[in-house]
Amino acid sequence: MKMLLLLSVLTTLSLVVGVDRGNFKSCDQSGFCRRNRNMQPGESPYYLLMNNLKVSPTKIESRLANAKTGVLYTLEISALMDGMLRMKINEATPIRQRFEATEALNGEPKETSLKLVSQNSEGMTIEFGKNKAIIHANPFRLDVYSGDQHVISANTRGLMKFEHYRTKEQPKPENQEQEGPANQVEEEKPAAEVEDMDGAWEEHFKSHADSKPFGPSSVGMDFSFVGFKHVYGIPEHADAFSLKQTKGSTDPYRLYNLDVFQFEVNNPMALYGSVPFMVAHSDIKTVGLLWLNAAETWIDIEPATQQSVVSSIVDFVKGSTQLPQTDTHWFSESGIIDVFFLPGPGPKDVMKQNAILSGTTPLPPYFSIAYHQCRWNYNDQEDVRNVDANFDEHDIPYDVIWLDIEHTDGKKYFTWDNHKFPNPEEMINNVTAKGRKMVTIIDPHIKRDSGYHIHSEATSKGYYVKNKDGHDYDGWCWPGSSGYLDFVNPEVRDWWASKFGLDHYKGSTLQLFTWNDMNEPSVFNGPEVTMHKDAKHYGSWEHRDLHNMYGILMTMSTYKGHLQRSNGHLRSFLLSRAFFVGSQRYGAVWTGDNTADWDHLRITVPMLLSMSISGITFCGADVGGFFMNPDAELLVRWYQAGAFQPFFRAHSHLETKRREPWLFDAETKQLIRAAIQKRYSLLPYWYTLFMENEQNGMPPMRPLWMEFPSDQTTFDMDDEYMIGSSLLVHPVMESKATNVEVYFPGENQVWYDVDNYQKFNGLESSTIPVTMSKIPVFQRGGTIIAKRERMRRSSSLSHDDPYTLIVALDKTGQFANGNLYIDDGHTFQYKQGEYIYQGFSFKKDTLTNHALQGSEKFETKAWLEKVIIIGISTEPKTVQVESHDFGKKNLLFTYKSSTQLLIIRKPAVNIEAEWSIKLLF
Amino acid sequence: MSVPENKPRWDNTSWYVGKRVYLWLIKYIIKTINYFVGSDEPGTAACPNAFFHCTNAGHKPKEIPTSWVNDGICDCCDTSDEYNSSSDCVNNCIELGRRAREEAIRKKELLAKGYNLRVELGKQGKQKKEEYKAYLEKLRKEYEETQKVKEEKEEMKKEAEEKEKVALEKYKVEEDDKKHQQEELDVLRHRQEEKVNAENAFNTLDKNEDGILTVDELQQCLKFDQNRDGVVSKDEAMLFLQMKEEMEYEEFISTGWMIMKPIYMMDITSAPETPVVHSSSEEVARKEDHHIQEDNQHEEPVEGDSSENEIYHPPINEDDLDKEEFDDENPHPQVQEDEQKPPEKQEPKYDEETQKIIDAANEAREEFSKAEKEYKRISDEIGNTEQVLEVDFGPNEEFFTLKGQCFEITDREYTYSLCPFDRTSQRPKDDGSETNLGRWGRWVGPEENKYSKMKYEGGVTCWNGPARSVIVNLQCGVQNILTSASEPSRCEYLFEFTTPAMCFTPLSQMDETEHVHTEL
Repeated sequence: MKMLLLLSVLTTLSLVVGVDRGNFKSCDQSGFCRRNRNMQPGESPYYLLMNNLKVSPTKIESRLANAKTGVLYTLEISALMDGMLRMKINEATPIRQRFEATEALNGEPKETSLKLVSQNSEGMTIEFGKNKAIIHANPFRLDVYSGDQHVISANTRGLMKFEHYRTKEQPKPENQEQEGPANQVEEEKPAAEVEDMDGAWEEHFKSHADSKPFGPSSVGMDFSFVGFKHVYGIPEHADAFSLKQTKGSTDPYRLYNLDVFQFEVNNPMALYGSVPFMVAHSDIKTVGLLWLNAAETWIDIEPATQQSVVSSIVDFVKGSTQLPQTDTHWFSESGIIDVFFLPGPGPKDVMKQNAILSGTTPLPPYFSIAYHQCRWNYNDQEDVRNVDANFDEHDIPYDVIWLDIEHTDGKKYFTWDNHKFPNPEEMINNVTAKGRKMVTIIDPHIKRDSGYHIHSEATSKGYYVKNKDGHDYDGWCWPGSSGYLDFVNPEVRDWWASKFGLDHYKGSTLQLFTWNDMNEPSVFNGPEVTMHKDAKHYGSWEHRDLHNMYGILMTMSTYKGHLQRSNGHLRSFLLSRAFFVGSQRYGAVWTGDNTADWDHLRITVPMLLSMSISGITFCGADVGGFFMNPDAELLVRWYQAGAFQPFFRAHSHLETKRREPWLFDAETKQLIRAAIQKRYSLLPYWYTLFMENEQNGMPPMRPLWMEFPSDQTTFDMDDEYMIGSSLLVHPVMESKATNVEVYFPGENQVWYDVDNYQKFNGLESSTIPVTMSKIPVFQRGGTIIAKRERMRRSSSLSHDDPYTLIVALDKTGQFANGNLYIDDGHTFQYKQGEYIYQGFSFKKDTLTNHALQGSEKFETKAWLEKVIIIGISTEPKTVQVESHDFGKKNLLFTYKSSTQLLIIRKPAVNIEAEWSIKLLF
Repeated sequence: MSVPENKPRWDNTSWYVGKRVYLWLIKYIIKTINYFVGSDEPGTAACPNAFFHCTNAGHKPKEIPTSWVNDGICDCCDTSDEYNSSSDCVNNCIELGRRAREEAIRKKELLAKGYNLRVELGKQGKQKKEEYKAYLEKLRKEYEETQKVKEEKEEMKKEAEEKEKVALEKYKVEEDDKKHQQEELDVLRHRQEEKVNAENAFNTLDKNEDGILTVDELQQCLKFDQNRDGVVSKDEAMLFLQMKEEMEYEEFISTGWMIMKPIYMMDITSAPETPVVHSSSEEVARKEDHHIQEDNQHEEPVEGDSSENEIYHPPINEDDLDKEEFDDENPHPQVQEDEQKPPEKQEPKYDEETQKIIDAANEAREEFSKAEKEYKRISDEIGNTEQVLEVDFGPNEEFFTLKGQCFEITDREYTYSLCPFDRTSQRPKDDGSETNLGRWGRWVGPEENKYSKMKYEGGVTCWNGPARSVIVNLQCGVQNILTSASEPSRCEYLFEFTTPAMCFTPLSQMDETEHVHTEL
């Protein structure tokens, strides 16, 4: 949501724009990062004890040993559903338990059968599903095959590191062993290694000390993606979609949830969320890798060097040495090695496999995919009333108005400023009377004020995170001195959930939803603006062990609260800034405190694509940019882009000028209104995509290669993407643009400009002229999209409104199909079968409607108002609708030969009825 | 897209309604009475600005966007907008109409009263304007007069000073001699002091007391750490020894000390300056306060004492004006002092004749200074008055009387003040330090209603933001009241002000306008 005021004092004394890098660690300033990154590829000291092998129907278990230290580790390799493989390595006899981030998963993954195909002293081969893996014993190495193709190798470069827990008295023996595969280069610099280990027991960053009572505990491993030049994912970074080489050029990509004040684009610095999930894609294969670890994590990426290319495999597969390969190196500060290999083989398979592991976004309530109006802050009830009324006055649809921190009584969440918001319920009811909703912010830092019920309860029940000395952790945030709730404790999560009950949260209603901000957690006076790593959580975990999960545990709890307050009847909506693997199960995420400039507009596309393919599918960026003031052009372009991104919310900083659409000139207002209206007209399509996302994990916003996997031109794209499988979007993201260069993917594909129905061919680029009103959006030939062209004040007022079907015929001019999902928009009744899921298809000159997943339990008044068929080469003589209810009827239509467009008026059949529309020539 | 003619609009919506058809038909008949701009696709992009007309019999008719039709929300009191929706709207036009008419009557009475007040204000304003004009006339005459007086006095002063100069000539030589002697004495005394200083320094630095300063000895004295790196390098030390390794006492006293002195005498205790790091929000607040105070120093005092400092005081009666003239006795003390310096330093005793001449010259100077002061006052006053006359106080000068008045409103935290055509400000309720929110800028209302908005600008600059400014919305009301003050955007304030000066509509025209402006 917002900047750190305190930090801003330091950084903006002279109005600096841009991140203060000095506030955040570089790899050089982090002991475990240095210790891992400085390792040289070579022979790994880890080897598999083959005589310890335990084979069960779904997994094999054994021990790994470190030849230098003699420390033993457990190894579990198990087969999971859908051809996935899990590799778990832990200390065999740790002196302290190591944290496992399993709560991030959508339940314990189900194991399936695994077959030990062959085994000898050098290793073994296993099969699972259609895939196999070869395990090499000494040194330990794992080669994963998708089908017959070798796709991922683990520890080929020997960068595995597993720092066992030890007592401090022990002089650092592991140092020599682990860093030193008998390699001369290594032996030449022992001095540097000694320094490295110093950082293992105590570390300082700026004025902060990390006491590190348990010493070194990092884990790391290298993974080579064999046959892949492109890797994606590992959000959140403000960087290109196709991940860049880091080794030798920048710091590794860092995953450590941080409140970064005025983040910069195009660098690998950590941001608010972390999903250690990577997708590798080539024209023939797509695979995924999940490194399930909630501690601070860094990922180095480099194209394979001559030495690291897995040459024997290359020979095996292609008989060539030209196979590309991307080498990655992952390391985390603590926890275990718990890796999931997702074998694909296609992008949609990887999405589905990831969905099995970490779950999907539950179908959002309809309003939440519409337009959100936010600002820090809408000052009082009068302000809310005025903004709400102005949307009506200017005939701009919106669904949700948000209240930032200033609505509270002294930043005490779940309270209201009695002067500014004396009648919150009345205010909410006034807004919701027009079908709209409200959101209030609820952050995890709790004001240390004995008169504040949340604080006094949390204190007396011991619900706060503790500092290293065992006292309640005291950090500085919006309210000043604050405690931080320990969401690691399930009891705290239940207690927190109960606070959302209407009886607890005074002034709230079932139409009030929640925004969980600052949940990295942000601690203004903490190291790197977050919590001390030696702070203690429930279960005596250190904050270090689970930092990246703090946010998801909070949203898990808030989500539960939302469900409970309506006894599980109504769907939840919540927005979180911090996220981790699985955060999608609890709601939406946005990219945090961006800036009103063109770079930040452009970076929304790669950032949201990275999140989308990593499971965080309900995602968006602050429209207009949070910091600074956008000019009218930038604001319009941002609305136009945001209207075609999953979560669509305008937001702005306290110190920026007001920027509600009507505060600009008439043309700008009209352009913004038009952009929002385009979003509203496509809500049925978005909603259908979100339902499908819940089912199969396919993100509504997706890279082109997800639809056209073999089209290599699309692999590096940062300015173009798909919404579902039918719409191609290339937002205008350059100032003063007069045209954009659009690439149309896909062999034998045709594309139609949604505004003028101009036709474009796949595998070609075109220069599309743009005016200020133009949003370059194209419908793929062969698809049918259901739209709603009537504008309402809010989305919920449109449920009975008619649909328009846009039928874009494929290259042959013969075929198109598409889906439409409808339900009540806000309850869980759809889980009881109360929905309509229709398929439309056009073939043999006939458009038909048929139930996809039939259900008689939901009825709608919505009817079909218009059908637009694009790409039809001859004008029909007659257009006839036939339905069960009233037989046959001729329809009015117009045909435009210039654009091969047929507009059929008022079939007036119910959208869920069985009907057909026939063109007679 | 073309619309097929002769087709009932909205017909498409009811085919499945069945038993509601009859109801719908009645409504449809009512509806066709409505004029209805648009197409068969209400609320679509095909007709973005189409409206639906509700007759609202018993109350005022209303136009609503077609997107509000049949959306389940009762927007027309006659329920005509929800002719085909599941919502249960109740026709309450009669009741609303009655209340609206009552309200309209009440409002009309107020407006009529306001209008009359405005007429009165216009009279007063015009009168004031006339007074200003008359005053300006008077000032211009006075200006000529005072200019003449000033010139005369200047001439007289010159003459007297010429005489004085001649008379003082003989004393001047004497004086110069004395001055010269004094200077020599000063130089001697200074040299003596320097020698003592040099000796002290030498003795302090000459640690081994061998009468020779060496590089080593100088390196022990941190004062010579010119680059502040914590050590006195050899180079740094040698700099003070004429780039030699050592220096003897005599050389030091004669030349060495001169080089070293500026560094040596510097107070080293305050030396290694570290930049101040602001690290808390309080500091920001303080910074901001400081800023405000600074700014206020350049401001005129406000409110309480503003009457004395007002640029213009309405020339109600001559007494006030006279008083003002006499109040102004000592406006430029520094200038006067400077001018009077030489004669005041009357050290030499003059003979009687000379003294008389000097006294005469003094008197002439004083006279001139008075005349000049008066001239300047009049000039300023003319400028100020002209400035006031340039302000647009409305078509009938009805806003004129607001000038010179201030209006306040207090909310939970601040007291806001509006002094029309002058300034706006804000001060916290508990402590009194005031922030300037902006000075009178201009009328910024839309063309057809120019006087509905004022802008005050150039207030105190916000930390990390723009200069504060205020928009004042003016509305017709029977009293001058500042009804609200808010800050919708950071440092951009919004005041609401009611005044009879805004009541432009006479009772006779009200009935005609009422239907158009249903909301006032």
